[in-house]
Amino acid sequence: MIINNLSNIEKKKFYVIIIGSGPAGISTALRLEEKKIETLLIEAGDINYRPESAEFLKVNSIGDHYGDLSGNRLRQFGGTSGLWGGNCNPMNYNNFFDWPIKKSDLDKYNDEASNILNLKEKFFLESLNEELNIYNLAWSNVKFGKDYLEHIRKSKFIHLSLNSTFLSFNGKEKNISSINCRKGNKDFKLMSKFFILSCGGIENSRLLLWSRYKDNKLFSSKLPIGNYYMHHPYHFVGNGIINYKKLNNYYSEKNIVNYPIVTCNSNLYVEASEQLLNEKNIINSGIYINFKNINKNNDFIKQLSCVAPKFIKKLYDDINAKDIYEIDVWTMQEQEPIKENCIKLSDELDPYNIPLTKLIWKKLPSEIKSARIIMEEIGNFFIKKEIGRLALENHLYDQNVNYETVSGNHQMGGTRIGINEEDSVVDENLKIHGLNNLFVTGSSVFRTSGHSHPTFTIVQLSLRLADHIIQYKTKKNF
Amino acid sequence: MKKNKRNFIKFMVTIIFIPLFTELSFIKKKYIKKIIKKKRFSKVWLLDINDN
Repeated sequence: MIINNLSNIEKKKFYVIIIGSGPAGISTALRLEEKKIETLLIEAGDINYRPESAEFLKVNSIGDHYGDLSGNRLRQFGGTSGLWGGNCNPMNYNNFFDWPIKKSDLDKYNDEASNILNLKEKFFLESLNEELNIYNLAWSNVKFGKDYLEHIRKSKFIHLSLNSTFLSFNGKEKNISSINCRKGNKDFKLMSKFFILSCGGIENSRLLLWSRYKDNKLFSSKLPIGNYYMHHPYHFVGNGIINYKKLNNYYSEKNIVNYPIVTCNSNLYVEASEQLLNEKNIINSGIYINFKNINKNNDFIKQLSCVAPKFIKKLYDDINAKDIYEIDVWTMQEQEPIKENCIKLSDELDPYNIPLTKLIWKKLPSEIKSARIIMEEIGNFFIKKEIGRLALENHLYDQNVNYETVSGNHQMGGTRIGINEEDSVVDENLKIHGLNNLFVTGSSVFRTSGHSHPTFTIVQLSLRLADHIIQYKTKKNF
Repeated sequence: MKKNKRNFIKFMVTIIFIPLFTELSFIKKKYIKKIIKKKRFSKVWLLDINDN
């Protein structure tokens, strides 16, 4: 149900208050609703986008060019899912190397997460050879705000308050007792047993940094809030030509069952195998091979004719065949978590006098090295199997060549998961170290970023968090 | 004389030609798999040595 007047619930003690109604907040609320647990969902924005909400999301970006973050986040019901691309894939086994939870802890929620995201396709990961894997993305058409509004409006257990901005936590001795929030021109104190912060990859850190600044007795000074911020650098790495018939024959030879059917503008996704990652000591990258119809007159084919005349002559015998495609290759990369890439509080204030975000972010040398090694493996594979040829961008070989990464869509880290407060903010159950009843969910808890699109993992983590809170209710030990 | 000629041919085939062709085909096989990087048109091309 939608709560219009917060005065009516000021004296009510909820079981859970969730701050932020993006994919993380809504997924958690839906799971708690299944167990008839009452939640209050606080959303700072409205049902639809309001331009003035961007005043709260301004970022002072320092370091490498990050893209325009004002277009990457939404402060409205449903959060940033209002503008997302809908791509989903789970994190790999090896991404969890340093996490206090395993991939299998999240895999339990695959079906439920797929259901929430309305995914029609099953995920696959196939070994192409010893060095490379192919995988797929599943596409979600869900916009959380649009698709779950009616459900929440009718729900007896999910209470939604829009245009309600979180201001601060109240509490003492490891327990949060209430939050202060502003709706219209009035401030309210709202009580609950548990509190969940789910405001997105950057806002979670900003609000926690602000909360610690306001009450340094409640939050440990050791917590590395805002540190180990990560992003998925996405950049163009090369182009090439591919004989899809030969690639198909290779799939048959190797008994590869799952692979994408190629048409113009479709994608083949390739990543490094665990063996290659360990052998070369690199971080992973998702390699996005985009297929285009071949055009004999374009620059790339002309250049290929000069550089590899014998190859192109041989290819010309088949060039009218529909099996030959030109390819553009992009990479979406994992980024090493380092302390120096971080979120801090800016000197500028938002309209409610809370400091805005200062983001310090740099590209790292390991990204280019890793992209180069994986691309060379793909190029060598194409040559050995006579599948095609690749031409790689100069910036993979020359660090003086500048390259642009596209956008900052995936914001991760800042309140990362771990076993102690020296190097992490939340524990394996997403509870903030040193506090009894404040949890964080969303991509800010990622300890490593992998190269997967984060939303599927965000929903898995949120469902797991909801189950953890359900356990408290059923055990009645709180 | 006939026997010597036959032995000579046998010698040539078994000792000289077969190893020579085997060696050549082995070299050729290695030669085919040689992968080269070539900088041109502001790109680094990953090519087979036979492409050029």
